[in-house]
Amino acid sequence: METQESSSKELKLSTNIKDNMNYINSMFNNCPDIIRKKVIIADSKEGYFIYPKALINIDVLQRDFIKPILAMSLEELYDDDLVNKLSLSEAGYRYELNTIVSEITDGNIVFIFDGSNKAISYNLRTFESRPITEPVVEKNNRGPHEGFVETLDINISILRRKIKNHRLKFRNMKVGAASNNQVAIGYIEGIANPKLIDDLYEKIISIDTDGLISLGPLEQLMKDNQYSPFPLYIATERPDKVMAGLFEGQLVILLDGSPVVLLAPVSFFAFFQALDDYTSNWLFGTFSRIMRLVAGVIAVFLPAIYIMITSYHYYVVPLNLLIPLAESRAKVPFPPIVEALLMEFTIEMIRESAVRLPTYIGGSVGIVGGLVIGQAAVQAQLVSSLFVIIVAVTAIASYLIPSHDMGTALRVIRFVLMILAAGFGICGVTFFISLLFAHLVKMESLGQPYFQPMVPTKLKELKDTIIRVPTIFLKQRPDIAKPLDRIRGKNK
Amino acid sequence: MKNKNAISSNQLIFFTVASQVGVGIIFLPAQLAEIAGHDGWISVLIAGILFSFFILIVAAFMNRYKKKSIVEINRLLYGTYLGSIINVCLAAYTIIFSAAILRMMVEAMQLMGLKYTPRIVLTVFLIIPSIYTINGGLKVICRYLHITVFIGVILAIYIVLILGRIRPTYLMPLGEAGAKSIFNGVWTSIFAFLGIELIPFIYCEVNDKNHVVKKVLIGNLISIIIYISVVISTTGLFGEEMIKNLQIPLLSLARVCYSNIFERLDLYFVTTWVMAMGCVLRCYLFSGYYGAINAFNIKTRKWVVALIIIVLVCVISLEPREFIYLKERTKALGWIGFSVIVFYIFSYILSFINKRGVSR
Amino acid sequence: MKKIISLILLVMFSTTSAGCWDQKIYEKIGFDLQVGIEPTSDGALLITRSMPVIGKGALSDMDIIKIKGGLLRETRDKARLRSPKSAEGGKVQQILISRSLAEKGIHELLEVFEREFINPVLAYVVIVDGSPYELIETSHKFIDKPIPPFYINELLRNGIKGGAVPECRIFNYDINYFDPGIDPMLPIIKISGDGKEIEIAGSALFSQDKMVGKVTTAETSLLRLMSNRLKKGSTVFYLEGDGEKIKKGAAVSYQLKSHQLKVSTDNNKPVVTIKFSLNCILEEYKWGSIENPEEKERYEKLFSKELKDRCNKVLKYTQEVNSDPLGIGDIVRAKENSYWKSVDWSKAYKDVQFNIEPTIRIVRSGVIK
Repeated sequence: METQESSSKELKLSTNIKDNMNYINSMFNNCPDIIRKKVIIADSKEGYFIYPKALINIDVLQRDFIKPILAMSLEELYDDDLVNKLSLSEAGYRYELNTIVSEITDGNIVFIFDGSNKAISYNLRTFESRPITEPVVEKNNRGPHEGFVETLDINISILRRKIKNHRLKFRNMKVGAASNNQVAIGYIEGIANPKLIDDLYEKIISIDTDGLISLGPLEQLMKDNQYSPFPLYIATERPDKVMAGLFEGQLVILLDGSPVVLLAPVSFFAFFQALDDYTSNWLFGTFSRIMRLVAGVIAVFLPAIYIMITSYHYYVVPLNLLIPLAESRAKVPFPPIVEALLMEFTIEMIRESAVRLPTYIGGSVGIVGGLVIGQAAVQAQLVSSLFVIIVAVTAIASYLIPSHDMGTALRVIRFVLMILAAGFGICGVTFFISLLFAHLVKMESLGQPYFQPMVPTKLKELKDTIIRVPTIFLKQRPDIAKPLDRIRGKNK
Repeated sequence: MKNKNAISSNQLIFFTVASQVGVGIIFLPAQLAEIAGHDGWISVLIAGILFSFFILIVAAFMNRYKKKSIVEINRLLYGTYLGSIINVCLAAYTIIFSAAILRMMVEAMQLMGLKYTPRIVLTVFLIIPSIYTINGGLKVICRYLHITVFIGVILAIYIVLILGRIRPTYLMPLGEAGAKSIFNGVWTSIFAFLGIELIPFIYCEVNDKNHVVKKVLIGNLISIIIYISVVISTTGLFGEEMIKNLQIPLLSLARVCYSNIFERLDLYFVTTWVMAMGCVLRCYLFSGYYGAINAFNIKTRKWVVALIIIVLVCVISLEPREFIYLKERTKALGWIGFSVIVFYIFSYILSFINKRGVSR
Repeated sequence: MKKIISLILLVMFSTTSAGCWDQKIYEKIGFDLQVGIEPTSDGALLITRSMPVIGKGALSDMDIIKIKGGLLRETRDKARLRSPKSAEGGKVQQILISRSLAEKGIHELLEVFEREFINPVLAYVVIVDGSPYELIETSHKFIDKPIPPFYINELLRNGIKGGAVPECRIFNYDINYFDPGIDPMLPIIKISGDGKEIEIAGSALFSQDKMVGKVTTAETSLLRLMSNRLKKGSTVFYLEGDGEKIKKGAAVSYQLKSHQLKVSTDNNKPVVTIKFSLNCILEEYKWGSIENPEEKERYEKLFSKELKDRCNKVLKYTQEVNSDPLGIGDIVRAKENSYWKSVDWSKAYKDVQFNIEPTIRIVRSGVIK
C-alpha cells in the first residue's frame, strides 16, 4: 500500500497526452460531472480541458481560456512563461498527476496538452451561494444584520471587508481523508499569540476522519474535552462577533461548507455575552449581563430546588406559601420527581418539535404548548400549578442565553441535577455544585483556563464579565487569548 | 505535557486558609468555652501567633532543599530505611485525617435531615467530587479552593445578621479565666490551625518560592481573623454558659438567623460548610496521594495508589460508629498533627548536622 | 469508572423506589403549626397540636389533636396514629404554654426544639392565661380572623415592633435562661373578654425558669426601652386636670435617641443609672396644646416625671418578684466582677438602687398647635 502511494505521489505528467488522459479517465470514471473537453491545438496536437461542470463559469472559460489557447502557436504553448501571458486571474503550472486530480475536485480547470509535461491549472470557482442574511438564531437590536454563508471564500471576503488590514491572515489546511474539506484559521498578526495559533493548527491537522459535515464534528474531534457538556469554543454566524474576537487576539476557525465559525480561546462567561451589551450604553449592558447570569442559574437550579424542597426539606417553605403549595400538591397523584420529569420532558419535546416542524406551523406550536398543555395539565390535576410556573420560568430563562451550545449544556445538566435532588435532597445539590465547579475550573479552552476571570482571579478582566464598564475603561485587551499587544487603538 | 501540579504562591494562600479553616471551626467555640470561658478568643490568637512561628521555621526548613518534597528530604536526612518508614507514617497521617474529615462531612449531612440514608452511601457520594478535583492535579485543586471566598462571604453574612444581638458583656470581663485556662485553651486551638503541615508536601511545586513565607503567613492571618470572628460572635451571642451545651456552635448560630422572605437560613449554611470541609478533604487527600507517589517513586499506574488511598479513607471513616467518639478522635488528631510539626522542627535542626542534599 | 456506574444505579433505584430513605413528601406531611402544653390533673402533660387541613372535602381548616403524654416527641408519635398526615414539627410557629405550667418551670419543655435540627428555634414561646387547648379551639372558630397560627403570629410580630411584646423566640428565651445575670420575659395571651379575639394581656416575668410575675404591655415597652431593646413606640401620658375632660391623656410617639446604662457599687450595693432621651411627637391632645416654647418645656418636664415614676414602679415590682429582665446582673458581672462573685445575685437584686433619668424632647406637634 505504501509503495503504491509514494509512487503515485511522484507520478509526474508525461509528455504523452494519452498516458496522462488514461490516468485521469481511470480516476474520474463514473463522474459525469467532470467534463473532459478535447481540443485540437496548433499542429494538430491534442489537448484536453478537464473541469467540473457546475463549479465554474462557462462563459469566462470559453472566452478567456479556451479561445486564446486555440489561437496560440506551438512555440507559444511550449513557452515556460505561458501562464503569465494568458489573461487568467489565478493560474499556475502543475507537474504531478495526483495534484491535478485533487485540484479538479477542488473546482479548478486543468489544461494538459500533448508534448508538454506541464499542466495549467486555473481557479475559476463560481458557484451558487445563499445570499447574505441575518442568522436566524443570533439576532440583535442595533448591530449589523449580516451572517456568514457556506462558501469559505465569501466568508473570508466578508471578514476582509470588515477588517481592511493586511495583518488579517488566514492559515489554510485540509481536513478529512475522503472529503478534503478546507479549513482556515483566521487571526490578526501582531495581536494573536503565535503559540496559540500553532497549538490550534496542530490540533486540527491531527484530526483523522472521513469528512466534516459541519462544524460540530470538527469541534468535538479537536479532543479537548470530549466528556464535558460545556462548549469550549463559541460557535457564531455573525461577522461582527468574529471581528470583535479577532481584535482581542482570538482565533477564528472557518470551515468550507459551514456558515458557523468557531472562536477560540474563550472563557465560560463569554457564552453569556451578546453583541447588544456593547452597542447599547453600559448601564443596560451591565443590567443585561447580570440578568443573563441569573437566568443561567435559574435555568439550572429552579426545578431541582422545587423537588428538593417538596421531597426533603419542607421546612424551608415560607409560611405564606405553606398551605397553598400543599393544596396544589395534594391534588397531584405523583411524587414531585415524577411530576417534574413529566413536565420537563413535555417542554423539551415541544422545543425539539418546534425545531423540526416547518416554519409555518412552528409558531403555533409554542402557543399550543404553552396554553393548552400547561392549562390542561393543571386542570387534569397531573401537575401542580406552582410547578407549571416554575417550568415556564425555567424555559424562558434558558432562552435568555445567547449561545445555543451553552443553552443545551445547561438543559442537560438540569436533568442530572433534578435526579440528584430527588435522590439525595440538599446533599445531592451540594454534590452537584462541588462537582460542577471542579469541572468548570478544570477545563481549558485551547490551553487557557475556562473559568477565568473568576478562577484564576484576574481583577482587571472582571470589568467586562459580569458588568460592562463604560467603553472608556475598555482600553486593554482581555488576557484570555494572551495577545501580544495589550492596548487597543493606535495612540499608545 | 504541562506540569499539572505547578502552582503560584498566591494560590498557596488559598491552600493554607482552606486546609486550616473548615474542620477546626466546628467544635472550637464550645471546647474553648468549657476551658477558658469567654476568653477563648485570646487562646485562638495566641495559637495563631504560635503557628506563625512554626510557618517561619518550616519554610526555612524547606528552603534549604530547593525543589525537593518532604518525602525525599526524609530519605536524605534519615537514611533510606528510616526515611521510608517516616514517609509511610506521614502518608498514614494524611489518610487518617482525611477519614476524619470525610466522617464529619457525612455527620453534617446526616444531622441536616438525611438521618436514615446509609453512611456508606453518603461516604461514597461525598468523596466523588474530591476524587475528580484531585485527578486534575494541584493546579485544579487550588483553583477549586477559590470557592473559599464564596464560603467566607456567606459566613460573613451570617455573622452580620446576628451582629445586633451580640452582647459585649458576654465577653467581659477580659481575662477572667486566668492565664492557666487560656494556656490550656491554646492546646485545644491547635487542632484548628493544623493544615500547614501539608505545606512541605507541596512546597516543591510552588513556582516562586521566595514569596512562599509571606503568602503562607497571610493565609494564616486570614485564618486567625476568621476563627476569632467566629469565636467572638458565637460567644457574644450565646454566652459562655449556653455555648458549653451546644455541639456545633456555628450551626446554632445559623439556626438563629432569620429573614423576612426565607424564614430559616440554616439549611444553606450547612451546605456551604460541607463544601468548606470538602476543601480540607481535597488538600489532605492530595497530599497523601502525592506523598505516596513520590515516596515510592511510582510513575505508571498511579491510579492504583489513588484507589488504595480512597478505599482506605472510606473504610477508616466508617469506623467510629457513634458521634461522641468522633469528638475524642479530633482531639487525638490535634496532638498527632502537632507532633508532625514538631517533627519538622526537629528535622530542620537535624539538617544542620546532616547536610546531605542541602542546596546553597 | 465502576464507582460511577454503581452510583448511577444507586441513584436510579433510589428515585424510582417508593421512598428514598429520608424522603418527606411535602403534601403527605401534617405541619404542626402550634403546640400547646398544659398540665393534666394527674401530673402528665396534655399536648395540643394543630395543623392545617389540606385537600378538598374538608369542612374545617384546622385539625386539632389533643394528646396526653410525658414527652413532646412521644405525643408526636401518638398524633401520627390519629391524623391522616404524618405530623412533623419543622414549621411550628408558636409554643403555647399554660400559666400554671409556667410557674413550675418551662426550660426543659423547649429542649426538643434546640436538639433536633429540623425543629425551628425561631418559634415564639407564649404563655397562655388559661388552657392552650381551649384557646386554640375557640380561636379556630373565629369567623373574621385568620387561622390561629397566622393570627397569633401577626399579633406577636406587630407587638414586638410596637414594643408591647418582648422578643420571645425560643433562642431568646434560652440565651436569657442560661445567662445567670438576666431573666427571660415572655408575652401572655388570652381570649378577650367578649370571646371574639385573642388579646395580648401583658408579659410574664421569669426568675430563671419559673414564672413569678406579670406586667402590663405598657410596662413591657418601658422595660424594653430601658434595656435599649426598643427603638420606637408610642404611649399616653395622663396629666392633672384631665379628670373632667372627655378625652383623657396626651398621646405621643417616641423614638429612642440615646441610651446609657451605668452600674457602680456604693457601700457594697449596686447602683444603676439609666439615662435615656426620647424624641417625641405629639399626636393627640387638645387644640392649642403647645403655643410657645415655655409650654413645650413644661410638658416635657411633666412627661419626664411621669415616665420616671412609671419606670421606678415597674422596676420595684421586678425587684419584689426577683426577676431581672434588664440584665443588670449581667452588666454587674461584666463591670464589677469582684462584687458579682461575692454575692448571690438572686438575693442581691432587690437591693439595687435604680436612678432613672429620662429626657423627653417634643420635636414636633403635628399640623396644628
